[in-house]
Amino acid sequence: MRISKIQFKNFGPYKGTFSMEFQKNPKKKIELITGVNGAGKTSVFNAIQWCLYGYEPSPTDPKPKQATKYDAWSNLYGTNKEGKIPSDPNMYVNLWLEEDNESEHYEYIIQRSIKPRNNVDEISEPNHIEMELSVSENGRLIENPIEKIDSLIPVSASQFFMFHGENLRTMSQKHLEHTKKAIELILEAELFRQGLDDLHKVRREIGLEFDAELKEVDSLKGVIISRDKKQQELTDEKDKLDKLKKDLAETERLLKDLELQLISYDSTKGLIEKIDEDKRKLEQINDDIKKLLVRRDGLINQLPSLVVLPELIKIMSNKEDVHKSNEKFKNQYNEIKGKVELIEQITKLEKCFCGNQITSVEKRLLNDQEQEFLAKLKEIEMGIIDQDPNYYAIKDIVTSINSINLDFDTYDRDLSGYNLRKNEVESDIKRVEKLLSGINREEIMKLTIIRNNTLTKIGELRQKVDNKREDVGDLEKIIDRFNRLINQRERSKSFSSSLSDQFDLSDRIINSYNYILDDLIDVRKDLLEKYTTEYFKKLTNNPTEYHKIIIDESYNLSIIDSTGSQRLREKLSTGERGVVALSFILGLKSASERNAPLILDTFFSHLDESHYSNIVKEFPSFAEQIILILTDLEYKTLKDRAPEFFFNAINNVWMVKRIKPEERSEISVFGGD
Amino acid sequence: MSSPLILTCSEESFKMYNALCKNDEEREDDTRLKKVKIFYSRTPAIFLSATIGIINEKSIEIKKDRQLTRREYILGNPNYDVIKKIIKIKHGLKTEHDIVIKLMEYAEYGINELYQEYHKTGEIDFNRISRQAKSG
Repeated sequence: MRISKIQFKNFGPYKGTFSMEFQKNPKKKIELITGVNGAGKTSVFNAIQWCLYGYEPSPTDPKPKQATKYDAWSNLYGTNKEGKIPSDPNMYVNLWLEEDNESEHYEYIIQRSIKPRNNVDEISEPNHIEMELSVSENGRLIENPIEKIDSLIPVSASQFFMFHGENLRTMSQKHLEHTKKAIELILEAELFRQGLDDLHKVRREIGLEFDAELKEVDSLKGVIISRDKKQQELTDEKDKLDKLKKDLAETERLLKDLELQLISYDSTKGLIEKIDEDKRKLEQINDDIKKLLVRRDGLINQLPSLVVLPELIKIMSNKEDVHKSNEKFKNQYNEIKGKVELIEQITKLEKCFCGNQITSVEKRLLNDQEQEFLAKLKEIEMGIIDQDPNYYAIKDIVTSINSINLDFDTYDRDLSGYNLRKNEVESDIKRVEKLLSGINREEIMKLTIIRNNTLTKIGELRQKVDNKREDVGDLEKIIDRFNRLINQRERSKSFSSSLSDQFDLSDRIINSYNYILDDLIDVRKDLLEKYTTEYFKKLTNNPTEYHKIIIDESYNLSIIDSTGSQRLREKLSTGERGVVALSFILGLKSASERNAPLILDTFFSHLDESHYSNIVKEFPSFAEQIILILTDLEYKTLKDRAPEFFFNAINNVWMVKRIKPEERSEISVFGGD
Repeated sequence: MSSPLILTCSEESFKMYNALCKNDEEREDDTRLKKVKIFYSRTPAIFLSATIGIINEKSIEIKKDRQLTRREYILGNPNYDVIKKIIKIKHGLKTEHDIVIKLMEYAEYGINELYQEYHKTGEIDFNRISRQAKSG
């Protein structure tokens, strides 16, 4: 890859538009830029870097990043210290790169520009400006310009292709960690390491997922046990159901047989029913007779009193005479006593009821009469016999017994009626039994009972079958739920297995990757050592004194001398260290197989005569395109010392001038010689 | 003197009572329908027998007695009051003991009468007895 053109406007000290075209000529690889100190040479170098990366690449931050406006502001546009918007405020750098890859030719145009925002009056802070970046490949605009630039010349690699002499001195020191990373990046080992990290990350994620799935699988073990238990229960219940169904079918068949047998006895069924009915009637009659007999016992219990009624009446009649005599005397007694009482009342009176005075004669007559009555009363009293206390009691008993009506007639009629009916029913039963005498009635009864029992049994069996079906259905539902869970488990298991495979695979990939990476680094390091040693032997003053440059894991260099002893780089002279560093950079460039232009700024300082000559001699072979930035003194020295073929390799000499008093720079082609 | 706790009858009468009256087992059984026994128990038979003896003014002294029934079955029966009065009036007896003994002597006669009828006809015509009593 080479830079075919640079165009910039208002960049740094350059006011206005400048263009530098580097025509392609395989024999003229060197573009030489020279000028006095402060003329603006390094600004060309900075313009290339700004266009590519938006800022000056630093070994401490080798990763690509979005260029900030602040970079533009502080490094470039910030030169406008007054903050006034200039008459032509736009700034840009455009870079043309071309590359021949096999049969394809690629041209990339990278354009980076800044300008003030439309609505600002002054430029005093980064936010006052806008920056744009675009990359086109063979005329086609690239969607992500940053990525494209990084694929062309990685920012970390840029320090090995575009460096000041100061960088060379840095490289001659012991490499720091970030430098190691930059080296690995350019050797693409970093890419592999990144891949390794990604693989580790993937493996960790798979592991976590695998652990989670394993937990899920473990939690479902209980479900499987429960399912198997329920499955066994289902099998048992189904067996029971089958047995019940079999029993039911068998019983139904038995019922059918029974029904068939009973149909043949149908004609006798009526007779049997009649007998049953008659027997029920007979039972009822017997019950009625029993009640009648109880009634009879009641009548018999009352009979003794009735039997003795004549005796009681006789007793009563005996007592009646005395009673009547006494009654007669009592009546007479009461009559005379009344008269006596009347006489007593009259004798007490002065006048008679008629109003006449009662005379003494009358009173004497009354008195005599009274005495006569009293004598009679005494006589009557003597005739009254003591009252018989049993008289009224017996009288009451007789009255009571007289009211008894022992209706044995009705009883006899009722009994004979019942007996008549009983005889009729018994005759009927005998008649039917005679009709049934040839028939095995017991068999029919037995069959009927069996039929009825069978019907009951069938009902029970059907209920049991229904219940069992429900049980089986419930179990099937439970098992179905378990199975769904278990299917989930199977999926999980399969997933786990897949994860496990993936985990193993990632492990194997990581191991392989590690192996490849180690191999790659070894190969790269070997190659790097080889190229570095080759360059070093070409550039050093004492190629025979040194045997080899060796590179450790941190890409730090040591030199093995011809005796086989290791000479630490720190013990080399400053010039030698610079040569070692340059050798390493060139070796790195060769090992990385990257075809990029080499831009060297104030590179030749600190080199002694011998090293200077060696480097200049080998210079054109360092890269496909070399942009060499020299002070006017260096250029003069070069002209004095460099051999002719060096100058033949120069494509253009660009002269940078500082124009005063405007303090602006200009650049123009000076010539090829 | 109080009446005896157990009332007795003659050996012959005892057999007649047994022929005419159901015992406990027979009462429990359904043999009532077979009409083999006339009286539900001995008590109604004793009272009917006694009244037959009274009405015929015939009683038999009881010798070589058999235990027939318990006193309370007789004294607790409503017929007893009637018969008691008759015996008291007819015989001037005053103690319960004498009255009950007399009752059983009347019954001793009466049961023979009943049994003879039963023996001859296979039954006892209560309807006739009732009618005779009513007609005096």
